[in-house]
Amino acid sequence: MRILIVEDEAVVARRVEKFCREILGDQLESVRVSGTFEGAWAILSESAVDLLLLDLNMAGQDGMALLESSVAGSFHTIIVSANTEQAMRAFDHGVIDFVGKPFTIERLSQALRRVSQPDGRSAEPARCLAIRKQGRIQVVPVSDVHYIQGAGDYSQLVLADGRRELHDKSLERLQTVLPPVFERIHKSFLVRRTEVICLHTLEGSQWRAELKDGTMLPVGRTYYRDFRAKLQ
Amino acid sequence: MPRRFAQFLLACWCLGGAATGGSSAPVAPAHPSEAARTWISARKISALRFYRTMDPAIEYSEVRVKTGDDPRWAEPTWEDNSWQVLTRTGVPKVPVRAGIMWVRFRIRCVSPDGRLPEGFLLWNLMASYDVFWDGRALAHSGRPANTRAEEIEGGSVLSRAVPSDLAGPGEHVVAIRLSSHHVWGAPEYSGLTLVMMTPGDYDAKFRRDNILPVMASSALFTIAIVALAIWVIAARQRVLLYFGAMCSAGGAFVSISWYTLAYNYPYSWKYDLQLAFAAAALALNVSLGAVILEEWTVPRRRWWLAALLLMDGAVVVQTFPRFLQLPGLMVAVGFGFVLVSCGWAALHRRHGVWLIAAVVSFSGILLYRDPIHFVGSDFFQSFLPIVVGVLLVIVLRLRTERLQAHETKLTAARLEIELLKKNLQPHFLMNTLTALAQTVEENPALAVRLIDDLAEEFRTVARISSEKIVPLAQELALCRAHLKVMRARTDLDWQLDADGVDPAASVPPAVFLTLIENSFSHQRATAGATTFALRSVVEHTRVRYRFRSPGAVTLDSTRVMGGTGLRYIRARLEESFPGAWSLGHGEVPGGWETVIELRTSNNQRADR
Repeated sequence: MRILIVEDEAVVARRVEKFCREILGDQLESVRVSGTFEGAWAILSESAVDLLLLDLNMAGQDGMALLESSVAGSFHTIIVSANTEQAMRAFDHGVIDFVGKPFTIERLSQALRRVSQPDGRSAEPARCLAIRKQGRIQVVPVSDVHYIQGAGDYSQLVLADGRRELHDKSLERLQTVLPPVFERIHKSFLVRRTEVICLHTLEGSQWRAELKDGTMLPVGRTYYRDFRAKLQ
Repeated sequence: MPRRFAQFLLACWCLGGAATGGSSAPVAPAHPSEAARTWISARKISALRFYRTMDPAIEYSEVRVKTGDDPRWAEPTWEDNSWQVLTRTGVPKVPVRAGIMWVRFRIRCVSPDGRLPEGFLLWNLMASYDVFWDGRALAHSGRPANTRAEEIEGGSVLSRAVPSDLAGPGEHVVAIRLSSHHVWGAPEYSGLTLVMMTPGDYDAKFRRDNILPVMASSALFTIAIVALAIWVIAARQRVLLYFGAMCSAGGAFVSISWYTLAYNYPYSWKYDLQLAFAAAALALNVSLGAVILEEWTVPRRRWWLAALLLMDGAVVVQTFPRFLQLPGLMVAVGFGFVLVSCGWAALHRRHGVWLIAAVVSFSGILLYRDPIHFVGSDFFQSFLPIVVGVLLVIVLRLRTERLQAHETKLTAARLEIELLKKNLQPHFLMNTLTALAQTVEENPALAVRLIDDLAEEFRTVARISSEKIVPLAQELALCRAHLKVMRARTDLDWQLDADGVDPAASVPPAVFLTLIENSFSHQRATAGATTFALRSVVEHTRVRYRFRSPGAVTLDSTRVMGGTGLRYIRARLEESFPGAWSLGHGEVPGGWETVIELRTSNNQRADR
């Protein structure tokens, strides 16, 4: 796992780094530390990371802007902050966990597991998704998303009004932060279960999920049985 | 206007019971043509409202006077055409201190039955006298004589019944034998008013007319006592004393005016009462001015009062020595002064300006329209709006001050909590504890020092949180304790350079500490720039602090407009130096500079 720690207090940053090394051991591919958000983005632009450990209260930084920029990225974000009253807002925006300071190694370990395990889920589902669009961040309410289509390392959100928005996160990472109502029905599709009105069986063991707006989405063999059970 | 003012002068003369001398000769020369009898209706003798209530059918002849003494002059048939005419149309002016003299005039009733009321009221005459009605001795007040020693002093009012056989149709001759040796001071002439009125009617009128002055003087004195009581018990503010003095002067003004008209006192007191009336008017004028100046805290009040007294002095000189017009002029000067003060107060946004201007203008209009009665029977009603207006303005201000005092207490409590909260802020406390946890593992000795520094900061904050003012040395110690904690957290060498500042100077608690905290929130530290700098400049009555925070500045809205930190600083400054501080800030090369200016006079006051 490639981790970037964004923390302006050197001693605290050292503690986070030390715990990460102890928790992940060999799984830790790289860990880098930045005292500023600009420095962090410079690192992100030149090398890929899997996880951002972010302090929201950094000197001279707008915490909300940091949060939105972070969750719009392709990586997962864990907030490590003293201001726990910001936790709900952070979760709303799609962070995978919020670790309050001072923290124990066990608590940080629990947060890291949400990222490292395949079926990991965020502690609280996101209520909105931040999308990087033409150099700015646009926030889309999760309730507006009907289904999501995978597009390589990216995802395409299909919204209630038919608009399509590209998100930097992969389908797998988005599923980690989205509410459980979003079901994986295909290797390339996540759908809001409540939008599906029926399943159609086609020739050759193929299935289609029909949405309320008439859209037909493919349902993969791996997911069909489980999804049909949940629909019933 | 000239006619109105002439009436005013006439009224003053009648109220004072004395006549002006000077250029207008009071005793008209005798001419043959004046032998002809002239008559004037009782209603037309004077502009005073009192005369308008009299029976228009009753007419008076011209009033004649002759110095000397002859019992025959009482006879109705005595030929007095050669006597000097005192007046044909108005209130006669009888010379005083001129030995024994006689005054004669005639009365008749031109109504169908021709009968006069069976009684008369004689007042305003500063003399001892005997009254003869159609030759018959009807009444006396004291005993007139050729010398002061022989004269027995009479009173100011006389009411007597007239026998019915002397009140019938036709002319009736009134002859008054008088002397006035006890008149003292300035008066050279005395008024003479004889009104036909039965003693019963007079008593009823006396009782009726007493009600309002008694109520008025009681009300004004009561308000004065209440104001004094509030001053003693609740609010030691000079304006209450001045207001009490103003009401007392108003009460005295009404009482003297009422006493002069209603009571029978030795006629020699007339001038004393006139002086007392003038003194009450002066006191009213000065106290009204003082109330207004004090209420609006006009700067250089002594000079304003000196200007008022200068104008009062001009009125005194102008009306010296009889001061007949003084009360009216004094009130007019007082009103003018208040209106000028209102102009100043409006420019300086003082409270209650328009209310005071309105009530004084209203009373001023009443004074202009009827100056005669304003300083007489109408005084209370005319002056009452000013009393109520001023009282209202004072009470509303006291209420505002009480609310502000309450608010100040709440603010002090809020600020104390705010300061204590600073150390309990999650961002500060939790980050410090996280850093401490790491330091304990990395360097236990350093961790112990961090705990010590943190404890020192907490102790200092707890000690000063309820203070309004702390010595700068204590504030600097608090800042340095905080910087030591930050040094342990950030691995940067934070310092505070405060060379040249006066450690004994007074500052509100945690103001510079808050600036340091603001710097950590809004500026990005760099290893090369970790020194805060505080400098002070003392200029006469001001001390200016320049506080420079190092580090790259992020111009977010809270830094420019002020977030919770700056709100705390402003609230503390206002609490400790109300209205005597300023705060400015801005970006400077390499950091951020905050300038706080305090006025030294208030600084000293806060110290006390």
